[in-house]
Amino acid sequence: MHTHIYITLITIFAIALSLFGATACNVKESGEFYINMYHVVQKENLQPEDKIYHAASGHGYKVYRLKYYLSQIILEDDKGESLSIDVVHLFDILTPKTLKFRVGKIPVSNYTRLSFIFGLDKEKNVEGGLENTLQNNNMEWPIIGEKGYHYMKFEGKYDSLHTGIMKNYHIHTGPTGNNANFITIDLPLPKPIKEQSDLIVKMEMDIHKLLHGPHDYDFTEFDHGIMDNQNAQEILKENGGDIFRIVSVNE
Amino acid sequence: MNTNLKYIPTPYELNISEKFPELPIPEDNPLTVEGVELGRMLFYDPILSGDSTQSCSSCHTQEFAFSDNRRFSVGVDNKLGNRNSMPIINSGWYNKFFWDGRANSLEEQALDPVKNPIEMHGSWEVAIKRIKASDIYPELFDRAFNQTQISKELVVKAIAQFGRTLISDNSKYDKVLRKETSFSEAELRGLNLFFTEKADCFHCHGNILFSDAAFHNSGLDEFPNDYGLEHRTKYRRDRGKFKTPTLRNLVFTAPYMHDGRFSTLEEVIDFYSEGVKDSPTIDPLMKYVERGGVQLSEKEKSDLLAFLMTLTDSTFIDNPAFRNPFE
Repeated sequence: MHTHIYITLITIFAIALSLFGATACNVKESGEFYINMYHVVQKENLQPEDKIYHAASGHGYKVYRLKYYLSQIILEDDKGESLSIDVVHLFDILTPKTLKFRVGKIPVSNYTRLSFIFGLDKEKNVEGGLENTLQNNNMEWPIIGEKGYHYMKFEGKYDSLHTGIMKNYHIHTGPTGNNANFITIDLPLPKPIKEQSDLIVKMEMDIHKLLHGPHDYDFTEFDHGIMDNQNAQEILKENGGDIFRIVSVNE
Repeated sequence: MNTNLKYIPTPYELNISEKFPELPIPEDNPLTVEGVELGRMLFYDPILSGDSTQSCSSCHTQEFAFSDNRRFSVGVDNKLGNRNSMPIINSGWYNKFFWDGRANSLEEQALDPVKNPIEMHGSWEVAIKRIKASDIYPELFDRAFNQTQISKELVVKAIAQFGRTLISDNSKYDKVLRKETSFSEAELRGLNLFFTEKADCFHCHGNILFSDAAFHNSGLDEFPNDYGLEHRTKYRRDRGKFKTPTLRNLVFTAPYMHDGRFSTLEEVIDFYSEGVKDSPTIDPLMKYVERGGVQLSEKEKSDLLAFLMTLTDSTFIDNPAFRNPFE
């Protein structure tokens, strides 16, 4: 998807780069930053619609759709300097091209941490806060007085009575009232496997963790209609803190 | 600027409400005044059909928001189609066409009906011969594309250009967004039903086009006769899924659903309220399937209908730029 990328460079980066560039002409000063997202249920690759997974509550469930925003990326290097990247990206498991996210050009450095918002911050999560595209239009959160966007749409079916008869669930996250409900994710970046100017982060999102610990998400209690249900949103927020994992860098 | 060109087509300027996303225009088929006008003529000209009796407009009539008021359109051999004619409204924003999404662009979409035996039942070879032999078209193609070699690719490009101009953005709903008017009490109640979990229309029809352009099985049948998207993908999981139609100009586009089974909007609302049927491929977005749907009261149905009526854009069906140029 088209994204607006505004990269704010800390002054020290610019100085360091200019000095570095003056002494080492053959070494690149900047590289491309990619996040390649993979989706798993525990350690198994997610198979939309076909595969039945098992929640802690005992219900079998299938995943039909999953799309969500990742925004406000911050990279930190080994000197403690931060690079803030004002960006919004929509990952959609049914649109493979969205899963390889080209964040943009960044200065070459030894980055050691990556943080981002799973969802959207308050500034962006307002009516018309994102670029006017059909993809963003389809994520709008239209509750009167709380207009903005869904952070995540996660839809499927679950076996409500353990009989094989599947009912529908919608896990739609977003704000309710004064509760912003977005999640800040902060992850250590492992040492790159290959030294190169580009930064290619392979990341995993584990659906299973969203439905488990610290709270077991109960499909029978929250099957659908959770857009204005802060109890459900709170559970998902608390469960969502550790669903992302960096698999490798520059593999 | 290429000064070797005999004609320089004039760029066609669209005036679209700012609430709409930017209209995607293919790089190899920019909108031009000459191209759009040629497309309009080809859209209304029966020259493309096997027996020269039908045009695109035979099944996509402006009066019906470029759909057909018959449940199934009738082809040149008096053969009935098996799906209701989809309205052509704001189609330039989509990248899947037909109820089963078998075409990926307006250009590709326009290729199909000419040779389809239950539609125009002709051939592109014959159609192109006729166009080349006509008194008017060679000059018009030259002006639109700087091409004297008329081909089916240029024909569908012209038709697609006209199709992209069929924009409806002047309904009461649009006027409210532009703060030019306001909703009545009933319309506002209907809007609140539409855009909340209660009636939950918005998850498929919530954007400015009133279609998410995706494919859903909305629970019309327990055992669908028409497999819909499965015809294209061959996946069993796609059985009974059809492209979400726009709700704009609903008042003109009856009958409703892919097979035109419902004659009135009241029937459609009743269906979503209490007539939904479960099946293995029903969309997860369908709520309360075990109860037959979202269970609206008669008052709520009436309010929802009032809101849906605000999607009516009479200027669209009266727009002289979209009319038959041969009349």
